[in-house]
Amino acid sequence: MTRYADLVKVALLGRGRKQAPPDDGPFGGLDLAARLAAAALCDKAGRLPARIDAGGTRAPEHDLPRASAAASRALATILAAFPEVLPEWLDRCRAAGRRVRERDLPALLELARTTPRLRPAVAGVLGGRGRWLTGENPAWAFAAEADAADWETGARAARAALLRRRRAEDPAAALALLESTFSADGGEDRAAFVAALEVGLSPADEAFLERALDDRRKEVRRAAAALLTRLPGSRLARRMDERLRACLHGARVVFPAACDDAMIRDGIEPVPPKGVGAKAFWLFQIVAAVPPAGLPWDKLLRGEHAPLFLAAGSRAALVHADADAAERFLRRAAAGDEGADPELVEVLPAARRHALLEELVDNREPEALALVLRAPPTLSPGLSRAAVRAASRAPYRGRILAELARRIDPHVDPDLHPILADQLPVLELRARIHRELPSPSSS
Amino acid sequence: MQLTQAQIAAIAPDTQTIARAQAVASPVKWPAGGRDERALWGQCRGAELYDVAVDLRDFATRCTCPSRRRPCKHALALLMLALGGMVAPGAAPAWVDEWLAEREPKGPRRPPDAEAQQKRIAEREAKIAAGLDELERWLDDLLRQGIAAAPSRPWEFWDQTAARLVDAQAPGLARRVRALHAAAASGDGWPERVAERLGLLGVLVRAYRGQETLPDGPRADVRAQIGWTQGQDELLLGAGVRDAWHVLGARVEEDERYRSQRTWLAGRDTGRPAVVLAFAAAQAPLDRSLLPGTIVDAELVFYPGAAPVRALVKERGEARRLEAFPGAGVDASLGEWAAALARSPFVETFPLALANVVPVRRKDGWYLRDARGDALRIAARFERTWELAALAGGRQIGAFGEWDGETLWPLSAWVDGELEEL
Repeated sequence: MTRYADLVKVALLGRGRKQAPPDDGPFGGLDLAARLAAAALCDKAGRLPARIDAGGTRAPEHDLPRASAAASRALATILAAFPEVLPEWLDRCRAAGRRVRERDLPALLELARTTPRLRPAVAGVLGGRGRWLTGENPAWAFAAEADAADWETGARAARAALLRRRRAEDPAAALALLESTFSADGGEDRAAFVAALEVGLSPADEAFLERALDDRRKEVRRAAAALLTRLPGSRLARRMDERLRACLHGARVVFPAACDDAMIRDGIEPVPPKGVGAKAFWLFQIVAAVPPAGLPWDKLLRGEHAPLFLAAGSRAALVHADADAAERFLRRAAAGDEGADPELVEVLPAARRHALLEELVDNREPEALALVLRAPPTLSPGLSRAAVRAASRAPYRGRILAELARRIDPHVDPDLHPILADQLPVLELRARIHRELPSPSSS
Repeated sequence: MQLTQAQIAAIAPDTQTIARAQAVASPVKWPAGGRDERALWGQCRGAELYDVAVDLRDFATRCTCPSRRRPCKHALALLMLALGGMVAPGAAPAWVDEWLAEREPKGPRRPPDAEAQQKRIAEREAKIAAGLDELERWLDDLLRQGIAAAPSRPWEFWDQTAARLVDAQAPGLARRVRALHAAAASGDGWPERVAERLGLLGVLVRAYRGQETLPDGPRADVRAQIGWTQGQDELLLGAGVRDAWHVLGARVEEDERYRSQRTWLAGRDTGRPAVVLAFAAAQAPLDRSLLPGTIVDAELVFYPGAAPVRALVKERGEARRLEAFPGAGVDASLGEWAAALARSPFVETFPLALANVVPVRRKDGWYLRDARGDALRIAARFERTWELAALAGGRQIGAFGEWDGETLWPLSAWVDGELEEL
């Protein structure tokens, strides 16, 4: 029988051309078509499968229990219609010690690829299967975990992640690993790795960080200075403290006369942004670097440089995670004073944060609701009630209520449901998430 | 039957409706409700009190709410409540009995005027005969000039011929001619694909003209390929095949006007494959009474043919969760495919259930490799290979899909005793 390929050649060139037929079979009328069909059929029926050698990697056994079917359904609903609830789902899933369903991994990894701020939360719910999968697809390498053997060859993000993990286990060994390649690593790598030392930061890191202040790359110097600032009793912290004492005599303010090389070495930017005085800028950076406790804030915040001290003090409260100072500046922010960073709400422990915000909302402070919208879920029942009531009085209440619905206690009083009518699907969804992924503290 | 949330999600018109249904699926909103072996019913408090019922045999729903979405959120919520064990058995109210009675299949319609029908058939046969003559001339021209230019032919080149075949009341041939456009544009190997399809068109022309000489099965195949359809009512009068049917996967395809769904079944005892087709206008939900991941005792009536696969459900019982996957190795599965081709050359897609295969990524694409190293290529246009890879984790799984002779389009995976739809 004539091979299909030979008959296809005839069909390609045309029966009318002067070509030699491959055999003496019939070619007229429908004959060629019929012979093509028959030969194609034989070809198709006789085709052999491809042969592929064994190989490829196997995922490890599952290390975490899978999120319940109901929790997975909630995730599907979130991905389809309520993306704003995704961070809460991811956080609660990680806190519950669970992983996502296998089939949800590609969608989540794709989201994390296009939305970098989701990456840490997504990494927390991948489980062994998910981490295996990131090794299979180069597009998801950002989530791949290097192990110690990969330290010298891994990509920057994987190496930084490895360093952070090692720091959590054994800070000294991790520092040694970092130092083993530091002089050969590129500038951006060095900056990322120095920043990773924030995990497990201790005085044992000071010598290394002090040397990094002389790095040839500015990003590295800045990262080292930021960490030393946070290290109580570090030489840099003492130098900053001395600088501050030279500028403050009680509540009387003497601006620094110059920004010398020592100040620049300690991370102080010499050139102010447009519209800001150089001396005020230097003083701002000094105040922002020193622990806020012990300064005469009442006087400073009433004096002529109050805006500067409010902004610098709230920066310092953030850097040093000082809850008392944070509360002080948040009260000013709620009253409408500009300069205090609303991010301070995250410095307060949850119970204190919720009590303070509830008080501010009840006192109808003008910016209280704006601060509530900076607090992560889940707000206390009391604050939830107060915030919803306040929002119902506010202009643009629709937008505020939508933002609140992501944060408040999803089991908020039913008598508030009329106000929250448009938000009930989100609240219902979040109530299911809370039921299916109970947080360890509430279970 | 045993419900699952995935099945509820599957019959829902969209995800928003699921989310809304979840908000309604709370017992406090349902002052009355109950279930028996046929149906769920209840009253839901919305803007008014709505009467809601679900026919458990095929998940048809009824609700007195004004929503245009069907099934509406109240019906979905009722299913969710039942899934949560919150609907107690009871005696159905009269309106439920009436609704169920209305839904019973009616007796066969009165046969239409036999003489007029004969006349219509004769007229159509004449048109088809003329259409076949024209198609033969077109094929002859094409093969005389050669098909080298086929990839550069515009859509109209194929569509004009197809349109004339529609006028000739041979829509099956028209579809095959239109498909030539995609075959010519299919890249590497297009001459083989185009030549094969032209060949089959020629075979159909000849076979239809000589259909009196064919046995019943091939003759039915040829008539169906031309575009003759058989009335469902008439078909359902015939005897069917009883078996416990595994529901293994469903493929939904859309074009601008409607969506079509092929639901693939495999008989547990007969080993027979079957496919049940459903169609819906663009926005309407498709029939999901046969849910992948279930097994259902049913009598199926097959459309006649040499290798009958398309079937109608004549009678069915409750669906249960699928507990075993009927898979085979790649080599044996291709044997089944070859045997099906031997019975009918017109088979285009064939269901393959592969056991113990691993998704493998290679430079030229994804494959499913069995324990012996035989591998089938996954269709390049299939978008969920990473889901499949994530489900497998580099281990052996069961995979079910449609095979077209070159690539497999996966529809479900059997992992750890569960069928996951893809």
